[in-house]
Amino acid sequence: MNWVNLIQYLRDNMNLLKRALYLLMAATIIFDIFMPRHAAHFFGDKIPGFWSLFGLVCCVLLIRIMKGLSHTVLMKKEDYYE
Amino acid sequence: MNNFIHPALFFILGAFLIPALRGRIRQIYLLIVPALAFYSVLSMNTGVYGEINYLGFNIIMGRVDSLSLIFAHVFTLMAFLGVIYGLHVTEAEQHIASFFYVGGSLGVIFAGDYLTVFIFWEVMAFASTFLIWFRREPASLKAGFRYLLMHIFGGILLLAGIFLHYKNTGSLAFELIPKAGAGFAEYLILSGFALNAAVFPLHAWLPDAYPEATVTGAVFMCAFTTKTAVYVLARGFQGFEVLAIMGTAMTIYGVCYATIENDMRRILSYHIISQVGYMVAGVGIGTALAVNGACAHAYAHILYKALLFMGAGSVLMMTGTSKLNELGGLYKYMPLTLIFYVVGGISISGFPLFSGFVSKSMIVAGAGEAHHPVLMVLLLLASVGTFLSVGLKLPYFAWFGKDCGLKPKEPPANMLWAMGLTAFLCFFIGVYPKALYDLLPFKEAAAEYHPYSAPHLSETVQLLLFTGLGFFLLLKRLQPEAKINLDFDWFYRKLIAGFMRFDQKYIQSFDSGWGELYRKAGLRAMMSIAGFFAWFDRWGIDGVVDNAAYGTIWIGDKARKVQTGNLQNYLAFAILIIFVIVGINWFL
Repeated sequence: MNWVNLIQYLRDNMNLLKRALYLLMAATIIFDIFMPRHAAHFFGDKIPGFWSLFGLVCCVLLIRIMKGLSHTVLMKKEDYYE
Repeated sequence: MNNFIHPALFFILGAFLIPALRGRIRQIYLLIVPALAFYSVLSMNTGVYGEINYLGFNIIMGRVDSLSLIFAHVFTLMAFLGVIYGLHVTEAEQHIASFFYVGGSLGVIFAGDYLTVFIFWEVMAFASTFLIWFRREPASLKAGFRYLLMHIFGGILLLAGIFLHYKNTGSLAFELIPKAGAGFAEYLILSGFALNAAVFPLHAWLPDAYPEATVTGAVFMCAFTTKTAVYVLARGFQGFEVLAIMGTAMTIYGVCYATIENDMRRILSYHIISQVGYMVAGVGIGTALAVNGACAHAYAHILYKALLFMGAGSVLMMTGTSKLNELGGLYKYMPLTLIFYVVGGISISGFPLFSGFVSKSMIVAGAGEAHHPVLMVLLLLASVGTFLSVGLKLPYFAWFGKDCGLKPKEPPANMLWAMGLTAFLCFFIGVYPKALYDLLPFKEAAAEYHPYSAPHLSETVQLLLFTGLGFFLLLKRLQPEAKINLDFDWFYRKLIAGFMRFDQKYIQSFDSGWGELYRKAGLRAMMSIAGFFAWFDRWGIDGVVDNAAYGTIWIGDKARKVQTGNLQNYLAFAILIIFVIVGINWFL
């Protein structure tokens, strides 16, 4: 079994990969709803699906804020220090 | 039982033999040295060895307890893996530098007093600088000097702290510092340690220097400097709240910069800051669970971060670039490197079954159980950013994305073996965490902790999956750009360059203007004063002396003319004088 062929196969069937991931996401949220909960240290631990939302929102905010900050303030040409 | 052989001895003495060996024999020798050191760590018993009284100082070279053992364990293991990765390097000096570097960090780990800590601390700083310089690029030379200067600065903070601490307490023993007893001296020591741990804002040396190091040198560097610093913080400063806060800030800071960086090894460097932040936070929280977590995470982190640097280094070596905007589509040519890299990527992100999952979660749980919910949520936010940059962005743009047209080969076999072995260890720790937990300093807390619980699994999988969703939604926004981003090194790169310009323009021009003024006005004034004195000397002093001489000559000349030898003239002159004397006598 060649690694390249496997990766190539997955790339050619992106829809399959996407569907599998969507299924997995749905499955984790369903699992989270019916999971026994105890010893919560944080209010989010008690809300089903909280960490999904947290992950998505944080990821989007991180990209948006940092790319914005980079384009306005931080980003310089590569020879800036020379 | 007294079977302690200091593992640093193997490396520091062993380094001297490297230039004498060639080819295959040297390669075998290079592997034997860390293997022996690893064996010596395994066969060690706890206790205090190598205690010397020198000039009234109590020097302890070998303090062996559970805290020093876990770090020595992973350091010698990592040295072995790093040597495999660098086995193809023929330059003896590179191996010598890495051996001294490893020896220095092991010296710190087993040191029981501040003096020994300081000496090995400096050995590490100097040896690692050579791992940057040996890349032999102009940028590496400059980065190496900046790295060295920053570490010397940190060393001075440490030394100053040690002196004050000695003055206050009269002891050099390196023990846990009670939080109430910490004064200025102890905080100086803390800042010296914090610089090596890349604690914000003393962190900028790390993403500045590591991307400029040699491919194999960076693998060593990413493991030892920061984790030695984590060890000394865990040894001396458990439960310092400032560390809990700064550590959490580091985790966020690192992932923020990694999101916008372009260079692969710089992205990974920012993630060292972020991951070391977890450990610093664990030490700062200071409970048994959190300190255990810091040690476990240091162990796991050394392995997966080295694996990531090995993967990125392989791409750099085979393609000649580590910039994401110049890479893409490498999966066809370097699939094994990709697979090993991805193992590192999902280990650092904390996927279940991989090492980050069983180590990082200990610190997060430690924050939760010590009632720091804000720190806990921020640490989870940082793990979102970790997966985003290291697990998704970097491999996507290097191995997939648009095809860059490069057709590199896989790296040499020894590099693949090193990556394969390290990847296996990351997986092994993930599925059999007991192997790691048995090494932890607080055995009871370690036995009570179970990472594979339903809430933890659910939380982690949700975070990771939905981070992935966010990544693919905003894929276009993340397109790598051939730019650099400002960080705190700006202060000592631009500000000092600005100061140098100011210096050249104003201070130096004042200096040279002053010189000119002195040359024009001062010198002329002095010359005329000197001229006056010369004149005075010639005509005043010399005049008096010379004229006295001239006068004597003149009188002598006249007196000579009086002596004519004529007796009549003598008689007449004598009588004349008698007349004059009698006359004067008579008149008076």
